[in-house]
Amino acid sequence: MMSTTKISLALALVLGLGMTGCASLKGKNTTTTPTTETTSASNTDSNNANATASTNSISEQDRLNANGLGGNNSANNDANANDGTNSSGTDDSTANEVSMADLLTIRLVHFDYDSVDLSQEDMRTLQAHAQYLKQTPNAKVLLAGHADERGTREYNMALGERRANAVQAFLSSNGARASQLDTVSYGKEKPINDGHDEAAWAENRRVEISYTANAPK
Amino acid sequence: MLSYLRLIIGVVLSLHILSVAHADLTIDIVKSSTNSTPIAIVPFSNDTATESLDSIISADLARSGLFNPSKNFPERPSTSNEIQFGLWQALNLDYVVVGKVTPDANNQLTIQYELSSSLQQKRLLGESMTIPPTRWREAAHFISDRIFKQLTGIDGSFSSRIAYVLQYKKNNSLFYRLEVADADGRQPINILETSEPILSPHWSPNGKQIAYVSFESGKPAIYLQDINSPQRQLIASFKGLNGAPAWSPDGTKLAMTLSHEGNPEIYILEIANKKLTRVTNHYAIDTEARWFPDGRALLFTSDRGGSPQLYRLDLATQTVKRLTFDGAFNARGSVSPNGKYIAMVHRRSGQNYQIAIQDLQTGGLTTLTDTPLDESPSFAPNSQMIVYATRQGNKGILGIMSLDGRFKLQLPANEGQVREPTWSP
Repeated sequence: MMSTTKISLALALVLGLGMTGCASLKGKNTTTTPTTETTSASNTDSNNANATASTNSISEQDRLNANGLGGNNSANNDANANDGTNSSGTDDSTANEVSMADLLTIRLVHFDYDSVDLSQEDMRTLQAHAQYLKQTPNAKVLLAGHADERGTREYNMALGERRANAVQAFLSSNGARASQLDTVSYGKEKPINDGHDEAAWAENRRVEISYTANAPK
Repeated sequence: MLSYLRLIIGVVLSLHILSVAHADLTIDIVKSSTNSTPIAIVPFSNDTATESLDSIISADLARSGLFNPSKNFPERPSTSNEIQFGLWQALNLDYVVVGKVTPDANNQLTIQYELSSSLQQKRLLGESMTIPPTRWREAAHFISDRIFKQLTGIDGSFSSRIAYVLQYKKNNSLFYRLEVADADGRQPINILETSEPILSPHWSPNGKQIAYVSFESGKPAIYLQDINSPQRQLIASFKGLNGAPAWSPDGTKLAMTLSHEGNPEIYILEIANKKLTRVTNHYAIDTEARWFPDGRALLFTSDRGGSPQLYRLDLATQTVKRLTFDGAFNARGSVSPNGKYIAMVHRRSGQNYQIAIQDLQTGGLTTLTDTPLDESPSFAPNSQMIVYATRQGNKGILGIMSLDGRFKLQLPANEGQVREPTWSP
């Protein structure tokens, strides 16, 4: 089940490379056969990651506009996706700077059902945060792990901690110091979406990155 | 006899020192048993209370699922001598309870009651007790317990209480409250209120304290809280998880989930000297420990087999045995006080998380609920009922049911979401 998910995510990313955002979203849906709950959840998950990025990036929207990259909100999402691609695929330094700033505004990473695996997309986000933390020794983050409402409270508490730990380990191995990273798990106690469907669950399976000192400007 | 009863009432019942919080939980019976025993609780003579003894006792007995109290009274005797048994036999009312209330000079009330069998045409039980008027409902529950024990041979659970977490919104902010109510959802008292989550309440075996997890400091910590005073003790606030506290049957130890050594593992803490012993060691998630009644083993949830399932850990030999094999998800186990069953949150396949019980002797698993997201099953002290958290629309409520699932009732709160119920000893 896990391997199916990873393959479908990888396909989605590969397809996303040469396409506009809209096409890449379509690509995700068509390349995945939602035969299992986990597989279909991963689709929703990715979509929600984009949605979250756009709601979190009002000031970023202004910056993008200033750079001639902005447009409406959905175009903004596309810009995010393409910037991520540029930063790994080209050495256009202007694009890199924009990308770094963009990625730093994303403070959420998402997970599949009962999973603690990071997606490629979220790893790019976390690399930006790791780099910032490395460059800013007095910056600190609290990584809060969360689970969806399904399953029992204490099991989800453990799952939320594993998600927070997965993000902590990634930031740490990408240059952040141990003293800059703190974790907490809230399990399913603090959903950001009160709904009881796949979309709500995907949104709630997350780690929130909160800067407790010297947040990126 | 009289002073003996007085003593029992004095010990069993506790004062409501903390403020009464808000309106009670209300009761809706959603599913009735078909083969319950007919019984008549005749209004007690000189009972002038707003909530009469007969109405409280009738509701208690009905709530057990084993009795069907009738409101059809062919006569209204107040002592067993006055009963014309033929009148009750004609209505197929096998059992009749009569009684009277007598105020005394010290503003105390004397309650006399008698239970008779109309078939055998004889008195089975007769007792008297003296109470202050403030303990009216407790006296009624006490009588219900005595009737239940006399007719079923099983201790009643009507004098027990239920602790639960209430989440509610005030001025657009969320608040969490740990409350304790009577087993019929009435007379809730407020134990703790914070703006951060509270979870996993669990009663001490003597019923005087509750262990729980509170996030009030921003991180999870385990506290031991007195029920009848504001006193409490911070017992665990290690780095990482501090979760799922469970009192040992002798009350001297707490099993809990900690992750300060890197991985969620189960530990046992000796309360008196704070000695901590790790009892699981596996890279999987190990959590939600509960003690078996003999104190020699723990039931716990682990995903070491690939999905969350229930396991039994023998504390002397350290051997771990998987107990559940039916279904994709079995967690948050609870052992019945008589040691015969485990209740759990069970997902067979698909999306529904239901309450199931497993017979520990036969291994047979029975699903008792059909609602989508049921949680936190907890047995009544007499092992006859289970309280659990469920949902009605978007509202979190409590459900109570018999072990065969044939009798169910709901305890919705007037405001907020109720969850994490745990039945007192």
